[in-house]
Formats: sequence, C-alpha cells, structure tokens
Amino acid sequence: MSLTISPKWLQSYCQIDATTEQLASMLSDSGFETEVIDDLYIDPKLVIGEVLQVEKHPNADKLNLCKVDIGGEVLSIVCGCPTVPSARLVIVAPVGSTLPGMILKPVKLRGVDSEGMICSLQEIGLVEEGGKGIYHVKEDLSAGQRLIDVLEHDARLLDIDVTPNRGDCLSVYGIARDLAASQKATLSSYPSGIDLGLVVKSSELLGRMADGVSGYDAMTGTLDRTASPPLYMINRLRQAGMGLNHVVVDILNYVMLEIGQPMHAFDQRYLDGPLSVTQGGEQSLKLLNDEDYKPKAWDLMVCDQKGPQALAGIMGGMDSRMLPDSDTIQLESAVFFPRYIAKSLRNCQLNSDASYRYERGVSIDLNQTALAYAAKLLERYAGASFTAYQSYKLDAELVSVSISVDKINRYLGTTIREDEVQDILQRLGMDVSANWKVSVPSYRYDVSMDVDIIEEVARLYGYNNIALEPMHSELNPAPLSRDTTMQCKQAMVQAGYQEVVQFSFVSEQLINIFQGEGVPVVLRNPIHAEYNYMRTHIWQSLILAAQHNYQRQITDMKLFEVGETFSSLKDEISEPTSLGAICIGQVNHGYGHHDECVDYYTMQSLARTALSAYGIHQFLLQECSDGALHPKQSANIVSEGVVLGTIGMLNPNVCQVLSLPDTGLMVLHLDRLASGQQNPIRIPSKYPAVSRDVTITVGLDVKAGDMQNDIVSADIPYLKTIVLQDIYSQSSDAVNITWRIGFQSSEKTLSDKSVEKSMLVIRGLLDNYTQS
Amino acid sequence: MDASVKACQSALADLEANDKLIAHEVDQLKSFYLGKKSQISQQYQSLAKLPPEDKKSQGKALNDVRMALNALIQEGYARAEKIAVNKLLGKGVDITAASKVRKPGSLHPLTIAYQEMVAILQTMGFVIESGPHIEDDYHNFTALNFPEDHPARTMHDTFYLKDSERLLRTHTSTVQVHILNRQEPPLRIATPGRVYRCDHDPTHSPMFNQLECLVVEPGCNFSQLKWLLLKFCEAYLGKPLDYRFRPSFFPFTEPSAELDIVWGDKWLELAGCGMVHPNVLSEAGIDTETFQGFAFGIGIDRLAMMKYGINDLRVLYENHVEFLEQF
Repeated sequence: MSLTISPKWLQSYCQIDATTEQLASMLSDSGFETEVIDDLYIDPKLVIGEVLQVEKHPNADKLNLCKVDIGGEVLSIVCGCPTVPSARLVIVAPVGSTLPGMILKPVKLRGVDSEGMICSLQEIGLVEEGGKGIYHVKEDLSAGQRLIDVLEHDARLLDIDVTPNRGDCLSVYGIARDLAASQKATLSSYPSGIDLGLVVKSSELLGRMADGVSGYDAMTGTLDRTASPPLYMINRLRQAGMGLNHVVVDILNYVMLEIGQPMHAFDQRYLDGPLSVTQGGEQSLKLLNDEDYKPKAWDLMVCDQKGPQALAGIMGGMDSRMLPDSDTIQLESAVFFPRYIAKSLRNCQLNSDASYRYERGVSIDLNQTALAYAAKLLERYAGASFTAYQSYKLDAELVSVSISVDKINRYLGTTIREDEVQDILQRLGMDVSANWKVSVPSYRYDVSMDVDIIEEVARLYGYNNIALEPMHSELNPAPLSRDTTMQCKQAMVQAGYQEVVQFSFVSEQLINIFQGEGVPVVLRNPIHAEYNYMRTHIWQSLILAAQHNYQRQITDMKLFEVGETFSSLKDEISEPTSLGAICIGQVNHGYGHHDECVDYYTMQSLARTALSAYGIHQFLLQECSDGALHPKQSANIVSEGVVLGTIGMLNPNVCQVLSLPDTGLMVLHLDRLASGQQNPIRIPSKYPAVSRDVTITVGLDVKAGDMQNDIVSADIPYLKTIVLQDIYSQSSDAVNITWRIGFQSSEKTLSDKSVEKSMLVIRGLLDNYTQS
Repeated sequence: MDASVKACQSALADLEANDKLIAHEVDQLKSFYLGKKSQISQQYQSLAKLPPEDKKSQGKALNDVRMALNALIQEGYARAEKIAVNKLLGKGVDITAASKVRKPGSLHPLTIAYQEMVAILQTMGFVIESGPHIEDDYHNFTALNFPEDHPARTMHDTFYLKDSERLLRTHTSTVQVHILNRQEPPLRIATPGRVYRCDHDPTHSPMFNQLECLVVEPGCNFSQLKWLLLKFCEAYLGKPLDYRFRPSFFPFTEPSAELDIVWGDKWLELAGCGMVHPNVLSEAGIDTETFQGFAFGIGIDRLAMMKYGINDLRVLYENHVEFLEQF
C-alpha cells in the first residue's frame, strides 16, 4: 500500500531540511520506495472572500449579485447558487485565475459584469463528487487569505510504498518517526488531545472483551450536525485518496492517516447498552456495504445488547452508522491482535483502510493518544462535547531480543562498531541492555528475532555503505550434460520454425477440441473468465498464437513451443513437457521453385528432424483417432509400443470452427523420449555402393510404410538404404510403388551375384503385397 | 573421296546447319557409318573372299575410309561439345530479379535470455533445477515463512485451482523448498521457470519467467550477496551498472533488499534479494548456526526487455511473427 502525503506535513513531525526529491531518496534508501508525484494545481490567486452584500440579479430570478471582499478589494460577482444569501466566508476565483480545466475570463451574465466566481469544492478539484454547491467556509479565516496557504498545499507529494511488515509506518507520524531515526533528525511528539481524565468515567459503555482485543476505549458525546471538516483536512484526505463522508468519519480518518490508529464512530441513538466484543455468534449483521454478514467462528464482533454492530477492525454496521442527523456519538478506539483480523480478512476479503492497518499491527499504546486527539479535533471542528469515557486494556509484555555485534558483522560481512550499533538501535527506540538484550517498541510488530535486528542495523547503517565482497569457491565442475531440449529447439529453428511462448491459460472450447490425457485443471480466479483452463495439450496454445497472427494478415507461419501441459489424474497433478508445432500456408522449400503448401508429409518430415535431435531415426506411423485431426491424414509416431507423438493435418471441420486455413500440427511428448543418447559412430565404407530399383504394382490399401518396415526388419545382407522413389497411380484400383535399394559392404566390393541374392529376398517380401 | 565419307561429312554439316549437332546425333552417325551393320563393316567382311593380291590394296583403301570416317565422327563430337558449352554460356538470367527467401526460424527472446543467464550462472557454480508449476500452499507460502493468514500472502496475487487448495506457483522459490528438503547443503542452485500472478498491464503479465538463485554455505554473507547479484546482472547486461541496494521486505529473507539500477534516466527495480530467513532453513532441517544462505530473484522477462529495449511486457507473449523473426 502506498501512502500519499505532502512533504510539509511529514516535515511538521520530522524536523529535517530537505527538498521533496531528497526526502524521496532518503525514504527509498531506508526501505520505503518513494516517488515524487505532482498534486492538483491550486492557483495562488484563489482567496477566501467575505460576502458583504447579496442582491437579486435585475434580469434573472435564479442569479444573485454579490459584493465579496477578498481582502482590500471588493469584487462584484454574479452567483447562481441558491445558498449564497446565507454564506459569510467563501472561496473566490477572481478573473484571471485558473481552475481545473478552465481559466476565468471577464464575463457578462445577463448584462451584468462578474469579476470572479464563488467556487464549490468540486470546481477547485478538492472533491471528486458531491459538493456541487458553493462551499461555505466555517473556519475562523479572514477575507484575503490565500487558499493555497489555508490548504497548507504542496505542489508535489510523496508517494510512499510501505511494505507489509511495517504496519507502524502506515501514518504520517510513523513515517516521520522512522525518517527521524534514519536521518538522525528530531522527531516531534504526537499531537496533543483533550485530557481524557476530565471526561466523566463510566462503567456502562463496555462489556466483556474477547481474547483478540488488547485494548478498547469508548467515549460518548454530542455533536453539531451542521459541521464540516476544515479545508486543510479535506485537502490532506484528498491527497491520501480518501473521499469525504460524515464529518466525524472524516476526522477519524484524518487521525488514522496522521498517527495510524483506526477508529470507529457509532450513532449512539441506535446503540442499546454497553458494547462488548465476542468471537463468532449466530446473529448476522448488515455491514456498511449493504451486505448481510454471517459471522464466522473466528470473527471478532462488536455487539450491544441487541446483537452485532460491527465486524471488529474491518467494517461497521449499517444501522449504527453516522447519519446527517446524528447528534450523539460513541467513539471506538481499539486495538485488535493482527492475526485475528488477518484471519477474518482472508475469508471475507473486506479490505478497508482500518483492516489494512489492523492486520499489519497497530501499536497497543496508541489508542488513548489517538482518541484524545480525535476528541480535540471533534470539539474544534464538529462542535462535539464528551459525556462519558471508559477504557479497557490488556497487560502486554514487551518483546526483547538477544543479539551480538559479532553475529551482526558476520551476517552482513561488515565491521560495524559496538557503539554504532547501539546508536542505531537507540535511534529506533530500542533500548539495549548491558548483555545486548534489545527491547522492542510496542509498534514494531516486525521485530522478534535477531535477524530482524540485523536488518534494522543494516538499514540504518545504509545498505549502500556495505561493501561488495567477492565470493570464492571450490572449482568443482558439474558433469557435462547435453541439453537435448535445447538441441531439439535448434533443430526446429533450422527447419524454419519460430519459437513462441504462450500463456498456459486456454478456453473451454480449445480444451474440448484438443483433448489431453486426464482431467483438465480449472482456475478459480482467472484473469479472463473465458481463459479459465490450464492447457491440457500444447496445440491449444499454438492455435491461439496462430489465430493471433492469422487475424493480422500473416498467412504463412511455422511456430513451435516447448512447454508444460497440465492435467489431473486421480487427484495427482501431472505436468508433462511437450514440443508442439503448427504450420500454416506455404512451406518455402527452396529458392525460386514453385510454391508448396503444408501437407501431411511436411509434418512427418518435421517430426523426423525433431526426433533426430534425440537420436531417434526409426519409428512406426500408425493410424490415430484424434478427432481434432484429419481422419485420413494423421498418424501416431510409435516406437516400442510407446506413442512418442502425433502428426497430421487439422480436421477441416475444426479449421472452420477456428477460422484457420489448412493447418499442419505436430506434437512430441518429450518426457517419453530418452534424453539424447549418442548413437554409435559408423565409419564410412571404403567399397563402392550399389543400387537397384524395384517397382511393384499393389492395391490402393497397401501402405508403403508396411513394405518398408518388412524390408528393414528382415535382416537382408548388405542392405544400406531403402528410399521410396515414387508412388504412381496406374489405374483406379492399383498403384506402382518404386523403391531404390542401396547395398554396400564394409569389407569388400559387392559382386552382382551377392546383390542379386539380396534382391531376390526383397522381391519375395514385396510380392506378398501384390494383388492376387 | 569415298562416297560414304562425303555423305557423313554432309550429314554432319546438315546437323549443324539445322542446330541439331548434339552428341546423341553423332552417336547415330557413328553407328550408321562405323557400327556392326555399317557399309564399311560389310565391306571388311567381304574382303575375306577376295584373292590375296586384291585383299591388300582393297584393305588399305577400306582402312583409309574408316580412318577418315573416324576422324569426321571425332570432330563431330568435339563440335557438338563446343556448341553445347556455347549454348550454356549464352544462357543469361536477370541477376537483379529478387529470389525467394528461405525464412530462418528463431528462438523466442525469452529462451535466448534463459540460455545466456544459465550460461553465466553455471560459470558461477550454480546447478539448474526445476519443479512443478501447480503447487500446494505449503511449498509456495508456509515453508517460505509466510505465516497463515499473513498479509504478505496478499502481495502475491495468487491463482487458485477450482475445487482444490492447490495454486499456481507465484515464484520459483518453491523449487528451493523441494531441493532443500532432499539435498544436503552446501549448495548453489538456480531455478528458472514460469510463474503466475493474476495481474495484467504493460508491466505485469499473468504469467512470466523468473529466475531464483540460492546459495547455502557456511559463512556466506550479505556483502557477498551484493557482489554476486551485481556481477550476474553486469555480466548479462554487458556493462558496469550504476546501482543501489534498497531495504525491502520478503517473508523468506531477512535482511531483504531490492537492487535498483539506473536505466535511461531513472531508477529501475531489477531484483529482489536477501539473506535466507532462518525459519526457512530450519523448516528444511538445516542447522542455522552452521549454514547461512542468501537468495536473489530476477524477472527473466524484465532483463530481456531491458536488453532488447522493449517497453511493453505483453508483446513477449503475443508471439506476432514479425516480432519473433527479429531474434
């Protein structure tokens, strides 16, 4: 969470002479990543004006002519707001001044000159919505004061990122305290409040408190219903991104922003009897967000005699909320243990500024200071007076941690002296005893072990003051291993394929078209509702990549991806890795030759290339029943009974559904390929090779692959190569298949006789396929 | 001159005149005038029947004719070859017409970055390890010192599986948990891989690639961590860097830091790092008195983008062919 505050406000607590940039860099260096950002522009010409006289406009019923004193000068201003007759102090934008989106020019309104404008908060940009009518200044200000001064406005703000461990720094005071420690600057004390001891002590405001409460102060009082927060407060709340609400809520928010204590105000008219905090409960509660909340067993609930009135530390109840006509209040300034709030929050997800602070830890010593301060502001700005007060507080033990300077230096690789360590810890409010026991302030929930102290020392010593220390180690090389996946990727690149990296998220449609093994894995909270599945097949991702390109007029593409797919088998998740490839359009086989479009054999050839990276050159091609593929142009690649992969053309029906042209696909299941065994090296023969062609006429159902396998597996003497030369359709029911068969011996020049002997066996094998 | 020599000569001349003087045609002539069934072969055969005194003179005459024919044929071959070569030499192409390009394939920039980073880390003695993407709460959070319900868990926008307590890993530190549980220190491991967070804008992708490095050795310290991380980044980016280390917070390290470098004209967050939290080491059964650990994590995507000057992370995962073919 980031805290956006004005440097002036910060410097009012931490006395340090620095520019905004310098402050940002000091904060960043001490662990609060800070950016300087531009705030809303407030024109210095905007001033407080006193309305001296209001008359009806001679030519328009709805307009008024006002004389407004802006300090030594009286302007004539035409104003359309119906509340202007009751206004005393207002904000005036004289002619020539700038408001968001406009520059005021002299105007005649229905024939009368207007020398300026009486502004609403929205026109100045101080509120985003509401506040449309002119703003009635109720503070004790005088005509001519510049708005920019009244607002204590800074043109630029500090946007401070507070890490989740630093709940103590979720306020201006908290940041100032840490900055003072890191910069050795003087820190002012907390803002003063009313003397709580002077408010009538009551024993009827609070009941029983559950375990998760470490402190709970309650105070009742009355209120001026017409009050509004002062301008500087409105401005600071706006800077921090908080909108305006009820004046009491605004003031409590302001106190939280300033010193870090969340507080809650109940409309006391609605409460019945003392407030207690219970855990869980049967009765549900209508929350401020208008939802009925059924308390969970672990939730802390603030209850009166009727039932729950607030989800403690997280959100108040709808019925007891502050309303415009509320005139009596009961304030809550409580401390809840972080883990209770955290547990509730994880379940209900009702994040608020209060819950954010409570789950990160609010100091157990802060709630009375905050209550007194809030009361003082309420007295001053909301006409409040307080009638009764009660306090509950659990005794708490302070945390202390043992540390040794030696360990600090060993851990950090530094030579920081004992007195430096002591100084750093004292600046952080940590007392160090003679035997190096460090007592931790109650607001530092993040410090409980010696390593936490080490981090604090390093942080204030300065991470950048810690030297770089070269590392030495034993030279112990790991055995060289071949990265077959990378070799395979290289083979794909050489074949002209481009590697893609796709998200693992896919749609239900693709899950249904391309079926992987096992049950698909579904996400509970996907980024896009449509892409809520983890891919079960690598083709699902490749199709998305192909569609993305095809829709952008890329008609030829050859893409591949190596990645995990996901499925669940008997509640076990499996994540096999596969290589997928997709080919669309022209194959680009060479220079200047006629175009060749992707077909089944393109994919088969690709599979041969990719598998050769794994040393696999022999395999069977068997019919495959994948419905996503063309039933007669697809095959499983099988070796020793294991399906290593699948190739084929996308089923024309699927092409239509996916709006893709003819598409070739390949998948190899890399986990099933033995990783990169180097085949034995062959020495080329010194003797000449001989080749013979043989042509055979067979029926259409005969598979060339079967013939080839028969010959290869027949152990024929001197057989070296067998290459399919041609398949020629001789008639409607027969084809001629021509093979070129090569022979070679590593020991001698082959005689015609021995070649013929081998050819005889081959012809015998081929004859089995001829039509009878 | 013999009639057949004359005829052969004129046949050759005819062939040449008709632009048909090729080796094959000369073969035909050779066969006709000198082959087994040629006139001269028959005349040689009938020579046997002549009286001896005629045999000699006739024989000589036939030999002369045969030699003359042979010479003509040989000349015909030479001529045919010359004509063929001249024809080839005459064939021209438009050397300026553009040929087709055989488009080379390409590795994805993330793969190139991965390869380069792994190469650097291997020279620094790191062993590359990997692990599952779908994890349980224990490996992603609890074992890494994220207490249950702790707000630090909300720092990671976690994807959860439907009807299951499982999740998509939000960092590859999960792999460290697996390795620490099955290997004895000392160790240096690097765990690159895909990680997932539900966040999508120009600088955040719901899936990205992270590389985490872990050193567990007796006596390793924060100064060495600073040195090692900086050397790695400088090696990958190929130049000395203007840097700062900034205190930060990660549940699994204490002290924790972030490395910022000056890139262009501003500070850019490059890596998170820190001394491994003793709770993490103890959870894996490692004696924290003997062993210390440090770890750092960087976004492979982030570093690759810096190297290639890419501003929008999303372009890496759109896989537009015209983007890919540049690598």
